[in-house]
This record gives sequence, C-alpha cells and structure tokens, in this order.
Amino acid sequence: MRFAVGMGRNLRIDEVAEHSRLAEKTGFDYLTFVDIPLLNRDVYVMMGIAALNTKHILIGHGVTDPYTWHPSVIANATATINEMSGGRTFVGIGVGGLWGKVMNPQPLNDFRQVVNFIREYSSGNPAEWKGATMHSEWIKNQMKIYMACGGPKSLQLGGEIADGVILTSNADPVTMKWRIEQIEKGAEKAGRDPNDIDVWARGMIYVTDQGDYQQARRQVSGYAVNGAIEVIRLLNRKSPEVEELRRRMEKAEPGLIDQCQKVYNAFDPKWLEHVDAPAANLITDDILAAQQFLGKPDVICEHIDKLKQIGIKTIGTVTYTIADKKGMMEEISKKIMPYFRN
Amino acid sequence: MKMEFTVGMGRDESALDIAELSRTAEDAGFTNLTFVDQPNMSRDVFVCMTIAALNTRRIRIGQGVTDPYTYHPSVTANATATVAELSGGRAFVGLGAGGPWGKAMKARSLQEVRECIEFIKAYTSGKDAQFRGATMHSEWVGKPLKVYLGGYGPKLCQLAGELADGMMLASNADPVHIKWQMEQIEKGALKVGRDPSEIDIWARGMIYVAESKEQAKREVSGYAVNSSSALYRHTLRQSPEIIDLTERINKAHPGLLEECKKVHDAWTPDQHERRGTPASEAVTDRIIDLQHLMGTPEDIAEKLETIGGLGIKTFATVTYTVIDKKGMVKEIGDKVLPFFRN
Repeated sequence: MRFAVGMGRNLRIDEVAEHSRLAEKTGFDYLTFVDIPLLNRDVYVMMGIAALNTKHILIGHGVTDPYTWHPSVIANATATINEMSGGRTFVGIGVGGLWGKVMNPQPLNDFRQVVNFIREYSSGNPAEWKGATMHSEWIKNQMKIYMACGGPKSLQLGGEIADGVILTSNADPVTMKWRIEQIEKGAEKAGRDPNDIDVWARGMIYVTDQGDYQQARRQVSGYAVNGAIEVIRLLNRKSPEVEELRRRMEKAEPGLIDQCQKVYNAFDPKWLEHVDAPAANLITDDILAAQQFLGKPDVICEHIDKLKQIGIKTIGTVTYTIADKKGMMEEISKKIMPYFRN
Repeated sequence: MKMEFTVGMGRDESALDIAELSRTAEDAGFTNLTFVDQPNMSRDVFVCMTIAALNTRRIRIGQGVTDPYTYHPSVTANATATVAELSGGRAFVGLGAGGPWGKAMKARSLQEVRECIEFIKAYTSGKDAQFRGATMHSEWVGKPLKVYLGGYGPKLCQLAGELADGMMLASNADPVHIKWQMEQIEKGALKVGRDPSEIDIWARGMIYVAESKEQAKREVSGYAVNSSSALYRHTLRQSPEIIDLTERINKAHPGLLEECKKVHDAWTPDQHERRGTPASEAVTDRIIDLQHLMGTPEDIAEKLETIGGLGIKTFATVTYTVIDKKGMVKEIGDKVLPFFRN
C-alpha cells in the first residue's frame, strides 16, 4: 500500500516548505495540494515550493478543475513544476464542483477532451481545445493524469483513460468496492487491465492512541462533512448503478444514509472544512468509522487492510482540519505505514 | 535625472534559470521584475514569480502581463496575493486585455478588463467581490494589490487613468508614441478627478548595450517585430485618437508606417519573439532606433533623458530575444543605470 498526503487547505505560504519536507521524510509517496482559490494559497506556488524542498516525493493537485483554469495553463504550469522537480509531477484533476468555487461541474464529455488535451499537449504535440490548436514551444514530457471521480459515469471514464483515479473523500469499503467495479467496467470497455490504474481511497487518518479522543473527533468531523454530503449527492442521482449502491449500503450499513442526509441538510459552503461547523457537529461515530480513519493504530490498519483487499493501491490522507498537522504525519509514519511496507 | 528600471523575463528560460536571473536583476539595481504569461511559450508565470520571490529581497514582482481570459480573476488575485505573502508584499498584478500573441484567444472587451480590475481590488482588500454576477470572498487574502494595466489602445490607456495604479505602455520607446499614450491616460484620470501624476507610467522598449550593432541588431529585431507590427495594426483603427496618432507619426517619421507594414505582413504567430525570422529581417534600422534603445551607454542614456523629459519615471526593458540575458542585465546595471541614480 502506498500513502499520499493532501495539504495546503489553510497553510500560510511560509509553512509549505517545512510541511513538504516532513511529508517526504515521514515516507509519504505522494503530496497533493488543494486548489480552491477562494480558500487557500495558490496551488502552483505551493507545488513549486514543495518541488524545491523535496527530492523524490511525487507532487500533484488535490485536485484542480478545467473551469477555474484553462487546460493549457494546467498543462503548462504542471509541466513547469515537472521540469523543476526532475519529473516528479502529476496532474490531479476533477470535474470541479461546489467546493467554495463559484462554478458548476463540467460536463463529462468536456472532461474527456480536457484529459486528451493535457496528454497531447504535454507530449509536445499540437493539441485541440474547443476548435483552437495549441502547441507548446517547450514541453515534451507527458505527465500522468489522475482523475478525481465519485459518480458511475466519471468512474467509468477514469477507468477508460486515467493513469490513476482519486476516489473522493470517503473511505467506506462498501462504497469503495462499488466504485472499483465502475472503474473496472470502464477499463474493460477500453481494453485496459484495471490493475494498471492507481486507485486511491481518500479519508483522513487520525491516530488516537494518545491524546484527547474528543479533540481528535472534533477535528476529523470538520473534514468528514465532505464525505457524508458527497454520498447523498451521489445517491440523489438516478441510475441503476446508484440504486445498486444504495441497496448495498442499506444492507451493510443500516441507518448510515439517514445520518449522512442530516449532515447534508446542515451543510453551508461558507463552513467548508471548518472544525465545529454546524454540519460537522452532526457527524456520527458510524460515519467516522465507515468513511474516515480515526482511532487506534490497529483499527486504522484493519480498515486499510479491507481496502487493500478490494483493490485500493494508495491511501490518501489530508491534514486540512488537523491542528497539529506535522505531528500527525509523524504518527502515521510511525504507527500505520510500517504495517504496509511489504 | 532619476529613473527607475524594470526588466521583463521568462520568455524562454527554464524555471530554475529564473533563480539566478532574478538575483542578477536585483543586484544590478532594477526596481521591478515582470514575467511573461503566455502558456504556449513560456514557463508558468506564477511558478516563475515564486522562484523570483524566493531568490530576492527587495525587487517588486509582477506579470508582464496576464489577461482575464486565460486566468479567472479570482485565480489571478489569489495567486498574486500568495506571491505577495511569500515576498513580504512585493507582488503586483500586471494585466492586459489579452491578444493574439500565441494564445488561442481574442482580446477581451474593455468592460471585462474594467470588471477584472475592480474585482481584483475588492477581492484582495478582503471584501466581497463581484464577477459576472457571482460574489466571491477569500478566506485569507486581506491586503490590496496594486494593479498595472499593459497595452496600446486609447481606451485602455483611459481606463488605466481612471482606475489603475500604473500603466505599462506599449513596447515602443518612440517619444511621439509615448507622449500620445500619456495624453490618453491623463484624459482618463481627469475624467474621474484623479491627479494623473499618481499613476506610475512605464515606458517600454528593449535596452541593448552594444558597441557593434551587427549582432545586437539580430537580437533586438526579434523583439522589435512586436513594436512595429503592433503599431501598424493599431493605426488601421479609425478613431479620432488613432487618426491623431497616425498624423503625428507620419509627420515626425515619414515612411515609418510603411516599414512597419512590411514587418506586419511578414509576421506569423510561430515567429513570435524569435531571432532570424522573415518578420525580424524586415525590421529596419530606423524602427530599432526609434522604438528601442540599442547602442553605447551614452546613446541609450541620451534617449532615456528625452523620455524622462516627457514625465516618465520608469523604463522597462526585456530579455526575451537576447542571447546572453544575464550578461545584458548586468551590463545595463553597470553602464546605464548609474546615469539615473539621482
């Protein structure tokens, strides 16, 4: 199992160097930075600082979108970091959404074109975007593209075309298994081996074998709102695949959907990823147990083991609402990672 | 005479070259540093600005110039504010309407540029800011950034006079052209009751210190294509202000516009800012003499005295088509800047 850490939600720019160095030192394989211009420091400035301060960790967005940024900018800026870092960069991209950005998600077909554009353009070929052909004067190295996906169609698209898939903020094994099935469906359609796709489950790891459990619960709940409301958004869509997911969740996790619905009803974008937000106060122990990694090391390792058996290759934690971000990276390094090193 | 100097770079340097080149610019005594923003041609502007911020202590850093199409204004504001935080407040926004220079885009309307400036000013002050009907508010940005406009046309100059902190004039050091642009800025300032002297106006052209003009001409010509073809294109418009400009140019420099037309006719976008292209070979000695500053330090200083006499307090050069960029930045610092220390 590999490990990724997402950061940058509320770091000052002068903290990014130290946090990136620590992520590398503590053994994380990937480092991603938030890209929500209304909420955090610029993603490329952060990625640039991380590249200058590390030697082997892979660096990407967690995640960007083709609405806020023109695809040629995404390709060019990521390639700039790739050049600086000796090829350690990847593109982390989603369709965009409500997370504090004033935007609507992009249609899936546009999204396929975005991925194709970035791939062609960063290979040094002429690339088409909305009728215009663009060609970089200097970029020649193709970069890996990780798609952030949650719904059946985007997961299938990820299975068809992405190098990796970042499953959106929810590490529930029931939902993860269903998601992996969608990715496999897309991969098979394109004649790919699903095993070639680096699939990440995302959830916050918070080790609590020392310190105050209530304090830990408070911090994780601030982030767990994302996972809970995203489940409801997904279940609100009408498709046979989604109905199948609902059936499985109702059977394996009775009552969980209702609990997520209450969080969803209380959600206000102004409070995105804030500790003690009204929606965060409605996060239940069931939600935390299913969707995040909060608890003693053996509980967390058991949860990760389940995901590993399903086919998850990378666990992506985040530091966003954690008060002692550096301390938690150290804890994960000492108490969780060793269990998965062979 | 006292004059400040700006240097524009980033046309074809790798991001890591920027570290040394930005230090050289600061040590040479330049006040401002700008970076090209043309994703198809140059490394990412915000990554370059980041590296410059990390490698300098007092020089001011901005775009030369960005536009409201390639980047959403909230991204421009957020990323520039991030560089400001990183540099202790040394970043500013350099904004134009955009144009055909290698971007697959058309120039934006003046109204959009106006809305973009207003948005950036409100947003970086930590207030609610409106853009196309959406209200945005940053969680962390709280210090207003200065906004410089860059461009050619009379309306854009008037807009700068109304609400920009500064204006980067067209890349054309001909005093006739500079004077005409300054009058447009003044017109805009007076319209809203502003003191025109509050606006920091930069004249632009390439400074190239050379005893022999042969090699110098080849390097400067690659860039002089911009000034000459833009001037010609510009005079095709039929507004009272442009007709006035055309008359002044024809009177002061009979036949110049025909020379510029030849450059314009030979130009294709793939020749942009390159040496030894058909368009650059059409650049005449007179175009270079009028629109750029090439020659001995004394020749250059004399031209700058004339420009300073018009009321210009900052002159901006660029390194784009210069082969030994670092050498030229040092040369200008050693031999030209000393004439203008007080």
